[in-house]
Formats: sequence, structure tokens, C-alpha cells
Amino acid sequence: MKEFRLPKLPNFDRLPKLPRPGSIPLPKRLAALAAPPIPGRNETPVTNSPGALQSLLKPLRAINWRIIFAALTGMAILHIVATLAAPYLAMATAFERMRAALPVNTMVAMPQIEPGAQPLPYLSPALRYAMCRFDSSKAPVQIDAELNALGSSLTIYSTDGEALYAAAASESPSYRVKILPTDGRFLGLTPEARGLQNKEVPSATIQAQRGLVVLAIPEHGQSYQRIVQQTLDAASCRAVPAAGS
Amino acid sequence: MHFQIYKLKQFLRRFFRILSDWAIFIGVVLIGGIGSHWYMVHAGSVFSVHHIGPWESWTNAARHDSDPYTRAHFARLGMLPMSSSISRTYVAREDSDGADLYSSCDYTIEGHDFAAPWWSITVFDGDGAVIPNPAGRYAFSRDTVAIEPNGHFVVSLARDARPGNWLPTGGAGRLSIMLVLQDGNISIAENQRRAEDEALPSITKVKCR
Repeated sequence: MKEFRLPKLPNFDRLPKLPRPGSIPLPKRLAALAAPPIPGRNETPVTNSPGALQSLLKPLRAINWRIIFAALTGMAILHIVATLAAPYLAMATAFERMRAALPVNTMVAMPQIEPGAQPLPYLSPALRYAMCRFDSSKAPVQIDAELNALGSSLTIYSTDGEALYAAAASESPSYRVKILPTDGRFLGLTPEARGLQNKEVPSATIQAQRGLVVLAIPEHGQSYQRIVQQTLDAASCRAVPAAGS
Repeated sequence: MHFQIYKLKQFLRRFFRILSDWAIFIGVVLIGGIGSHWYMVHAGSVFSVHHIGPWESWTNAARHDSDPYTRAHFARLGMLPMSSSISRTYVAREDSDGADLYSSCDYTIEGHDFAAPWWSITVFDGDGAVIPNPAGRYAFSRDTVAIEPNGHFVVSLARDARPGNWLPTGGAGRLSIMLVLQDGNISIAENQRRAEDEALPSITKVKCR
């Protein structure tokens, strides 16, 4: 009978020591996918490992930051362009609304503000108005107005609603404003610019091509309507010779 | 065959990636750019609008050095505001509790006479139009309002007639109240100082129908 002999086993003690499971450093991406810890085993929790932070930041890595940055830049540019262009692109600015109703370089006393007779929004019926659409492209325009009642005002607006000149009632009731063209043809022609003393009413000189002049006089009540109307009618807005003072 | 499918998948992945990037770009630019523009022009910011209770005032209105938001705001409304260098204009579209003003409700505006030599209170509809009414009353000014001896005044906003300073609101729907304080020819710094110290009237809801 043949004797059964076990095969000779290798000497495991002589083999190089294999690394224990868990002691091999995994790549950072694979560390996030590491198996959850088995309860009872003394292993470091996954949440404290750098792989967890990576997994939290993973959605952010998916975002194309260059696109976001470009979009924010585009947004800022569009915001600025839209804001600066808005006064020029507005469908019905005050100047456009009044253009048809007002002749050029003529002061027009507007009727009392009432429903259906309100030329512009938010124009208070507590005031009476005279308006002039000026155009100084051919000759300077001179505005004369009396601001003798408290609450009276004279304002000269550019076409985009910017007030170029504003005056309210003061101790000297008469006001004269000369509007010169902006292209420089009439520069130096005012008495002050020529070294002459202006002996007229308090005056001012501004430069503008087109716009609106608004004279506002407070409505004091029924008894004062005639006086208010006279003040509005007395105001003038006219083109004057270039060399005149 | 499998390689072809793999290539197609890669192509589609790249295509949708580019598509989504462009969608994000256009969406952020349009919604963010136009939206922020609209908000800044409509509601303003702390740099352009001064709030006191329900009243708001565009501090650089119709001034030579006004900011672009203020210019765009008034150009869009199509109005000619009184220059803020000679006056301060306040508009209220809410009552003192923050509720929108409606003609279906009655309100009282209570305040004290102002330091400004001339002022007016006007009621408009939501679009800035005067409200038709048989009494022909649209505004009170310092010349026309009844002020008590101690300087206190009350203006009633209601559909039906009220004793005292009554401004009819008819069936206008949304309301806006404009308060103009005109100081005359004062410096811009003085104008701003007065604006900081202003005690503006309160707007109180009395009842609604």
C-alpha cells in the first residue's frame, strides 16, 4: 500500500510580508469610493478623510467656471449699456410727448391740469405751467420770466430730461436766461464774455441745442387765476440775434 | 459597431455640454443684465433713492450731475421732475404699514407744516394721471390746505366726500401720492441736509370696502 504524503507546503514565514488591507494608500478619487467602515472595526471614518471633501467639491468641479465668469462679465456689460442707452431708447420721453404740442421757440401757457388735459404724467395740478420747446441751432434763444410767487420755478430741461438750469422764486423776481448753441459759433458773445457789465435783470447763459423750458406758477385759488394767467402770458421764449446782448 | 456607438455617445456628450454652457451664459447675461437694470431703474438703490417711511425720493432728480439710473428712471416714466436743486419730490405708493395704496380704501395723510416755504400734496393713479372727480380736486398746496393753528394738518383720501381737506380717489385703482417741497434757491448741501431731517407725514389706512 502506497503511503499518502502531504505535499510540502511553502514556508510562509520566509515570504515577504504582504501589506495589510487598508494600509495601501489609495488615490484620492478612489478614496472617496472606499467601502463604508464595518461596525466594530477600529477604522478612521470616511467623513474625516480628504476624500470626503473631494466628494463634496465634486459638483463644483463639474461647473465650467470660465463660462460663469464670462456670463457675469456679459451681464455687467449688458447692465451698463442698457442703463446708459435707456434715456435715448425710451419710447415716450417728456420731450417727445411735448414735441407735437409745442411750437419752436414760443412760450405756450398750458391749460389748467385736469383729467384728459394732462400733457405729462405726475404733473401737479397745484401748479400752472407755461412751456417752450427751444431750438438754438439757428440763433440763441432768450427766456424771460417772472418768478414772484413762492413756489414758482423756471427749469430748462435737455431732451433727455436733465435740468440744465433751475431757478425758484427769490427776492429778484425777473429772470432772463440766454440759451446758446452748443457748437461754439456763438461763444464769447455774451456781454460778460466781452467784458461788458450786464445792467439787465439777473441773467444766466447756458449752452444747449434743444430742450424744454418749463415755467411753473402755484395755483393759489379761483381769485388769483387771472394774475397767474397774466404771469404765464408775460413769459417769453424767442430767438434773438446772435450779436445782441 | 460598438466603437461607432461609443463615438456617437462621446459626440452627444460634448454637444450637450457645449449647449448647456451656452444656455447658462445666455441665461445669466439676459436675466441678470436686464433684470438688474430694471430693478435699479425702477426701484433704485441707496445711492439714488432716499426712503423715509412710505415716501421715496430720487435724490438726483433732474440735476445736471444726475446718475444714469435716475436719468433712465425719469426717461422711462416720461415725466419732467422738478429739479432736486430747488425742491424735494417724494412719491408714496404704499401706506405707512407697507400696504399698496388702493382707491377702494380710505386713507388719512397726517403731518405738520414743513419748513419749506411752499409745498403741495397731489394724488394720482398708478400711472401718474390725475383722478377724475366731480369736485375737481386733485391737489392741496400750502396756499389751499386748511392747517390747524398748531401747524398740524390732515388730508383725507376717499371716494366719498369728507370734511376738511378731502382729495377724491374715485375708482382709480392703484394710487400714488406726490409730495413736493420747494425751498427756493438753496445749495445742494443744504438741500441734502434738509432731506435728512425731514419729518414727512404718515399715511394711515382708515378702512377698505
